[in-house]
Amino acid sequence: MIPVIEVTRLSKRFGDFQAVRDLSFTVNKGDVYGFLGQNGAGKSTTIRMLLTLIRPSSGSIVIEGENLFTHREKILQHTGAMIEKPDLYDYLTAAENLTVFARLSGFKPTRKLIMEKLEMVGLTSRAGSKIKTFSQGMKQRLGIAVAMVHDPSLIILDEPTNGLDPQGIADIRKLIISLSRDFGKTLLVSSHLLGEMEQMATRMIIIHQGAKIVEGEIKDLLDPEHVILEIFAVNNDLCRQWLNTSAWSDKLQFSETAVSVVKIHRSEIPEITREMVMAGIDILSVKPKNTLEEYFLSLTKQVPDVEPR
Amino acid sequence: MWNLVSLELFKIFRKPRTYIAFAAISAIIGLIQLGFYVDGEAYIKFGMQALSDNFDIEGKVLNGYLLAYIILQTLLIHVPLLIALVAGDMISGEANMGTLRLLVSKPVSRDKLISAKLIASCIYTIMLLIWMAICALFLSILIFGTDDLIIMKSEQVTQILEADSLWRYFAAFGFAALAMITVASLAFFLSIFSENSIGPIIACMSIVIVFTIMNTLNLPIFNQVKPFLFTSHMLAWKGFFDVKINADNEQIIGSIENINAVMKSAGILLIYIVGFWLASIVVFRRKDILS
Repeated sequence: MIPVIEVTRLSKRFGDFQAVRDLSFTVNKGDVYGFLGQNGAGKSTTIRMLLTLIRPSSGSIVIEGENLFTHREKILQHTGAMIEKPDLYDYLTAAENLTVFARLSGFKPTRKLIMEKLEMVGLTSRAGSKIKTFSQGMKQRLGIAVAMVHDPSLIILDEPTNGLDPQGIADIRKLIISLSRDFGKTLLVSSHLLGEMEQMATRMIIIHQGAKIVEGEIKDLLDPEHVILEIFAVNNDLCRQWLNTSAWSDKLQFSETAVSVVKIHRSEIPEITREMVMAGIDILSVKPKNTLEEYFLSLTKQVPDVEPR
Repeated sequence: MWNLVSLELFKIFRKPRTYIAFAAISAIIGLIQLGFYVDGEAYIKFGMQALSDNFDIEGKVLNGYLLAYIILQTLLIHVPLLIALVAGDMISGEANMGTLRLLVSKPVSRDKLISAKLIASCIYTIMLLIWMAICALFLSILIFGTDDLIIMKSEQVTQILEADSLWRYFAAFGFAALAMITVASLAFFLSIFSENSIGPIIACMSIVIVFTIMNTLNLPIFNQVKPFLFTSHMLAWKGFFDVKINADNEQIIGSIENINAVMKSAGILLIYIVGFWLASIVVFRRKDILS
């Protein structure tokens, strides 16, 4: 596995508000990496940092082995992105928008190439139409074409299916899978819809309030034999400390003031509980979550708000 | 760099608002020309009344050169608004449209991006001034013909020979371009701070108006800062129409009475332009793109 994006202890603070906290994750070559979290979880802030739109408060981003902030232009030459809404120049046509953004990427596109990209997103017939006449779904598809126009090896798509109808969502999903499988592209796709991610991502991270909750391969995360275990203790610092030195230290996914999360095999639940009690940890509750969906939904309801550091 | 500048120019000239300034200038100049074509002789007669009593004035006083001078004097006060319309929209317009984040995520350094946008704004300003010169000077010459240029000031009358007039207009329009680029740079700088173009346009015009008022008021407190205000130097183009005279009280053709003052004003405007450009780079480098 060749790492394409390596994010280490990334944080971003806006005044008193901590948007991203100590976030670390790795995207490997050929991955369709799902970046999941509720609205306001910190997905877009992280993506903006990956695209140098925002400077991190701390932490590092390495893309294809090079520091993003010291090799910015070289890295961005191989990166395509659609950030949040697909806002484009509404007074230009679809083909003109593609040409402008291709040339900004240092690439001189031919008419044939522009038409190919438009065909890929089903907009060939609207090549000469101004963007202001486009529906939200059409803009979304054109935004994806803009991200791909200079043939980047890394594509970052922020909520790419927003505003699309079911057929549009299916088409984009097919396109994303094909870009990874047939063209060897690496994709980081953010979404707040777990069901959507399950269908296209190979690996996934869930973030909440700017921090990582869980990361892993989809097949592992959805493995019925493994459960995501939420442990609430009277003193969670002690619980976390113990988990870090226990046999389950590598299973610890997330730990905050009130809760620790581990991903373990179902059969290990009694053992971990017993060991914690024996270690003198006062446990309030131990809740196994069977599916990622259930966990994701419960998480947003149950995890108390974390105070900014 | 040229690739970036050409892309910015392409975007500027595809925007409908760009042509508002060209249309407005054409309309205003057309209106002034029409007015002078119909009633100009009476207007000039009235204006020259004091002179006619003591002097015999021959030739065509109302000519293309005089009209161009009147237009320049009138329009250069209002053109900053038209310049700010485009320059004030360069960054804030992109932020408002949501395209700024896409633009900044491209493999182009922020310094180059800002510089290319500012250069494009300057080219737009120069094109507007060229258009103004075509309408105000060449069209007026075509309609009203040429003769000596007579300029009446509060305490003196300057007569510039016909053969000595045209180059002064080229110089005046060149200087006016520098003055308008200063306004464009200010509007551009302000546009970095805003996510809609109305703010920078209004802020730019407010600064121009406040500085102009300070220039007009003859108060000691303002007199101290006047030499440093860019608005004090924007009208220095008039210096090109002050002609040196020799010991025999004759005009020296091709001369400028106080070239040093004109050059000093040009230098101060240049310092402002470079200052706004550098400030734009510094601010934009550190800016988090949240739009």
